Amino acid sequence: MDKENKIEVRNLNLWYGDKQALKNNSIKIRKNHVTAIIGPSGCGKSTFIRCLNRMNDLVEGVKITGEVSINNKNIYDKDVDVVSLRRRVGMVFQKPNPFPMTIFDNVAYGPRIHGIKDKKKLQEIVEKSLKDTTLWNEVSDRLDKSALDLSGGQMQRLCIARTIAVKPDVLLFDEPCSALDPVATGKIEDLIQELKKEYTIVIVTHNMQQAARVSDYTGYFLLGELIEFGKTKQLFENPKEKSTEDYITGRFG
Amino acid sequence: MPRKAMDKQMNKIKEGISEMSELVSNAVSKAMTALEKNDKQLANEVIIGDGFIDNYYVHIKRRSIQTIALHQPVARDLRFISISLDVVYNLERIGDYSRNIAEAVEYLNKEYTVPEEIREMGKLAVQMSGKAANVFVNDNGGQIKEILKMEDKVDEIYRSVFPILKNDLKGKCKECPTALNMILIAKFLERIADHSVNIANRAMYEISGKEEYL
Repeated sequence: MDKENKIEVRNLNLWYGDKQALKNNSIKIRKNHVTAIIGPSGCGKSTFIRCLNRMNDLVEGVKITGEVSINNKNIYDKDVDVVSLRRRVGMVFQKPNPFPMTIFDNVAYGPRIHGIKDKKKLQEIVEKSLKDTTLWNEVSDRLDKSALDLSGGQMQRLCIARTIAVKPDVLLFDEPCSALDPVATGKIEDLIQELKKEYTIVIVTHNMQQAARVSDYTGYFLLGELIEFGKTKQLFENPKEKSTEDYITGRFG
Repeated sequence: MPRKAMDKQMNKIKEGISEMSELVSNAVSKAMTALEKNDKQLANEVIIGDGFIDNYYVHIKRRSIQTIALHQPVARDLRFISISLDVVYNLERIGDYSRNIAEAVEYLNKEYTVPEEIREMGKLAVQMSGKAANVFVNDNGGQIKEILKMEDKVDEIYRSVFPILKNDLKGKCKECPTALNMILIAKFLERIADHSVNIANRAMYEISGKEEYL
């Protein structure tokens, strides 16, 4: 696997008004690996992942300092086109949120916005995206039906298909399975293992067993600070920090 | 995560290992006394007592497996459970060896003396078996050095006792040293067979999940 870093975060600070939510965090995220971010509610893990595609820009009163480099380019530089950034850094949310349109149009939405009009080309992209998310066999005969009729797990895989249809570099998952049953969760976890061959993945999860199962690296956040970051195997077998140990063994709080 | 439930399981495992360790250490001690005094009744007590030790082994192992299944331990908790499985396995083996010593009492000549070296080894073995589990149960890392020191002593006596026994036998019969070695080899082979059964049983437990193989 590739050893280069896809994302390098340096001295990242974030304030919501007066409240500091991220405190001087630096982290290197490996290309084609899965990095999990864990920590108790309010520790800043979602805020952190949202910094990676500038989703926090939309929050009123937010102030960000530091650097987030993707492919060696600081995404907070003034000349960065945020729309293009969010194409390269896709995001999947906790609750599946397909658009109220057909399955086909959901997946074709991104490519169309980015200027692809050729029908055949769009069909190819939709088929590949649905195959890559293991959804094709389940929906290929009803692409013209509403996406809202799919099951929760299928909807979430559709959202992933929609995200990868625009060929991003990085996939951000914010609690992608917390609204899904164990079978659908298992499918998403298997999918993440497949997707990391092509994409760099960062996943925020409350489910520590999930972090342990799917990730190669894990970062533990507490009160806005990255307390420990390392290989998942090491962090779950023999963490360096007592605070990490207390959290993952349920002694915390 | 239900931390209280996890702590309860871990405490029960600790208590079980503590009790089992005491039983095992007593078994070593009683087996040696039975051997030294040619006390067949005491030897019989050790043989019967081994069944209790085996019960502890099965129960603690079952609880450890349940804890893994129900609580998904990680970090120190995971190390605790995995080590507790090793600890009870080794305690159970020590119990078996004590029974083996006790069983030998039946077959010894009426008139024999236990060589001083073997008595000394017995004393060390009793102490070591008592202290070993204590390192785990009470997180008493300080005792490890003491235990290693005693092991050196046991090894030293073991290396010295063999030529002594051989020479003793040489005077009595020419073939005896060879016979002694053959008995030891037979014992090693029996151990290998025993461990092979253990491995197969573990495999059966994995395949069937039946507790008879646990």
